[in-house]
Amino acid sequence: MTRYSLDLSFEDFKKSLSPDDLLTTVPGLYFSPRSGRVLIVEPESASWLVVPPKEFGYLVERGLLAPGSGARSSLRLADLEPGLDPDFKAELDRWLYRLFVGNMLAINGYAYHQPSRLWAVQKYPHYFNIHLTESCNLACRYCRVGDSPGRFALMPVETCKKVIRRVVEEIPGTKIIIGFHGGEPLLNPEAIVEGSKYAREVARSAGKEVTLSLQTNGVLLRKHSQLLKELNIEVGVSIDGPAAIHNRHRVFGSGRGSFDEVMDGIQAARQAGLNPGYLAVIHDPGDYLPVARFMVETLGATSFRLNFSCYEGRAKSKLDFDPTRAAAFARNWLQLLDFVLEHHRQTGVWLSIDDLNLFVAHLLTKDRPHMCYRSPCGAGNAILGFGADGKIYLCEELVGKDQFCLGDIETAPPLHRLLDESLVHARASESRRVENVAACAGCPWRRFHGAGCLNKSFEYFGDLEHRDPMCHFYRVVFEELMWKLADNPEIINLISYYKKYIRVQNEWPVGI
Amino acid sequence: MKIFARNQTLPLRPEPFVFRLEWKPGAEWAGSALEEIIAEAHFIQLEAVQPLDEEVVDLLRKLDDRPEKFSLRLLSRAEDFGAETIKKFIGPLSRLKKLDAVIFVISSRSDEPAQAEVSSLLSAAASAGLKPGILVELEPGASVSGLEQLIKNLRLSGAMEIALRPTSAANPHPNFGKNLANCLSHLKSEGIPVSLGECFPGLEPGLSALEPNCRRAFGSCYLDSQGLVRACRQSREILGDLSRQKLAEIWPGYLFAEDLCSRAALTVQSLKLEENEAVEANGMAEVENLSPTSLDSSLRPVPLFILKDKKWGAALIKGLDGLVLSPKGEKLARMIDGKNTLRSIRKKFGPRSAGLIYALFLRGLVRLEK
Repeated sequence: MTRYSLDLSFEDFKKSLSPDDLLTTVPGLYFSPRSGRVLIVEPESASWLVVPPKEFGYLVERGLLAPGSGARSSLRLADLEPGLDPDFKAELDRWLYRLFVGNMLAINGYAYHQPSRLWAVQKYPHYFNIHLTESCNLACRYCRVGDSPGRFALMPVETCKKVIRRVVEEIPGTKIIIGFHGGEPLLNPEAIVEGSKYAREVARSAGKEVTLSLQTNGVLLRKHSQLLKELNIEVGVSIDGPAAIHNRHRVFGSGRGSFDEVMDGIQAARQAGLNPGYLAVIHDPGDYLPVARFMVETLGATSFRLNFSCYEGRAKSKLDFDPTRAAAFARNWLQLLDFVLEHHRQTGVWLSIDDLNLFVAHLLTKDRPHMCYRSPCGAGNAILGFGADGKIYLCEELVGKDQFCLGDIETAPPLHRLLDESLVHARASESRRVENVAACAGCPWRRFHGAGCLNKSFEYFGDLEHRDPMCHFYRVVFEELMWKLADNPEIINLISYYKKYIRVQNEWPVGI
Repeated sequence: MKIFARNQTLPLRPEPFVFRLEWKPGAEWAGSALEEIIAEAHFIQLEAVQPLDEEVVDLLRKLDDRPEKFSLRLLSRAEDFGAETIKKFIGPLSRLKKLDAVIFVISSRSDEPAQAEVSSLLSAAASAGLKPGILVELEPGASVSGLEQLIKNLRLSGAMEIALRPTSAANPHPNFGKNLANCLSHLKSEGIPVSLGECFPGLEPGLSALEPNCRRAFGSCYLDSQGLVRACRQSREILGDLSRQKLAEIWPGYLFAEDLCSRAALTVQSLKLEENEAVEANGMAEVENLSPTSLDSSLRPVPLFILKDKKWGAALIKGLDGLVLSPKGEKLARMIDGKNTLRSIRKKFGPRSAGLIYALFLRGLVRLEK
């Protein structure tokens, strides 16, 4: 057993200590005091620790922590013990261990986690999002597609099949997800039917496992639910909560709200035996709790996603975006945690709310199982987007934006080669590394959140050099989740389905 | 340990890479000198001594659009200029990609309403994605306990960095140094690090452990709005006048001068690697006391610095910190790339080069990886 093992146990660590060991402090730690306790974050390895007041005072006094210092200080282990408070002495090895596995203390120059070996991202995408049309039967006020004078074309069936064949045959990997998106994908049912059948056929020939999904506004679900069930497609429905909230922004072209039609579609989907997932877009931060309640109490959902609205497309002209709105979003979003805990107390069921579950997972592991919230983000390495015209984009959110177009499905070289050689891909990946975004490079939360969403940054600031426009939201919620997890370890249960994708680190990161 | 100045091959004071600029409309340095500043700068700190207005925001936008890599910091007085005026500019400021931090200057005598205003400013700035900080100006007669509470409140309100500076160069209280040092030490032990924005003249003994952010004129200078160049804001000695001289003409005369900063005579921060003596690390006694013999030679140093080429070698810079390197030291620094091991560096530069790497490690300028 060496100190490099990521399974280093406390007992093995203790055995490995020698009086000659050189203990060196680590600069660049973030300290946040609260009611006497101090949260310590080591940004580069995304490690954290909550330390009680007395112990924190000892660690500073004995030179094992040096708040505010940009330099390191060293001392030998043998020099640490004389004069040590007896209470603290008994716990010294445990604290050394916690600091060491949290990369907050180096021993003989070694750090436990090697930052350059952390945060590797996959090379080729596994999720392919196909926009079957940009047309829509709704005119939601925050839609990423801007107002257009005419209708958008539907993706021809042959184009859809070509996209499917090429991603299955040309992108390395054994498990793929094909998502039908838009616009409203149910406006192009022929492509869904033919594309789905073809996807299963080519995947079988290639020896790959394919999952099909579709995201709809729900208005046409009554008409197509049976078909979707027969095609074995996972269905996600966008619904923004109770009628009063949903009808504020999810409207038809006439301005009339779509709540009744969407609920009817959901009912039809259930009758057909589908088990839809739900997604709500939150524009007013005060809506988080009522929307969550609606999802659970009215729809009976135990798993759903709440996204905040973004400054893009139609939203730019239809909605207000206060530059200081992030704090209110964070404050209200955090109430979801109490809601989930209360729900568990009453029912014994843990709700899975994205991204609450993912963010808790990020506190417990160095794995980053989702394509977003990492450095660089998943654009081009976890996801590809395809426009209705067959153009290939780095991400679904970037469909239609020429700056992020990699080519055309008709003329592109083999897709793995396209990704390997594309300058658009290389530039975007490089730009969105936390070390290359000035505001992220020194941020304590950079490895929890990554450099944010490429698309949202591009839409808000007009380039790829800026941070995520809502970065304060992430700073606040990650810190608050740390404090809450320190006080209530059962929150670990929220990681839900991410559990199978991550490896929870060996030492519970809370020092109390 | 040799005193580096004897050989005179490296400057004791490198050309500035941190520029502290006093801003008011029509500032002399905002003309042709600005190009020189941009070419050399790693950090440009603008201190607005008048209320924020469109003009300063425009200047920041222009600097932000420049292709050169440097960071910006903005200092603005919260109390005198009104929080509402500043709040108006938080949106535009939050769109600047080079703006590292917005620092609100506040007096240690601030009353509760003023503190509440600053708290709301900190929250608004943070919420817009800015990194807000506080610079507390210590007034004569300020109570240490009041200061401690003020700092705690401001940290809780979201100040991501907190610094202190005196209102003037005069020593406000002979015994303040020890009390202040105790106060800062106490805050540190509660997880609230406070730095010194500038020197506290006459208070050195109690605060000697804290290196002021001014870096004692090492790679740093202060330009007032009239274009007068000083080593720091407190310095009375005028090094040059930008209305009559170029910056490039002013600094060379001071490269080897010890009197740029009277309190910095022995804080030489140069690293030199020569054929025979291998390593000299002045100001880094730790290197001799703690020989890095226990370091595994397969460790790979990873740079946390940037190198700026100079005619005498290179400046090695991280944030406000910096070191001066000889041409050979520069070659060694360039081998620090996260791929070369201590073994390969030692092979090329001799056995004592590991000592230099270790000095950089202690200085927080490299990390070591397996």
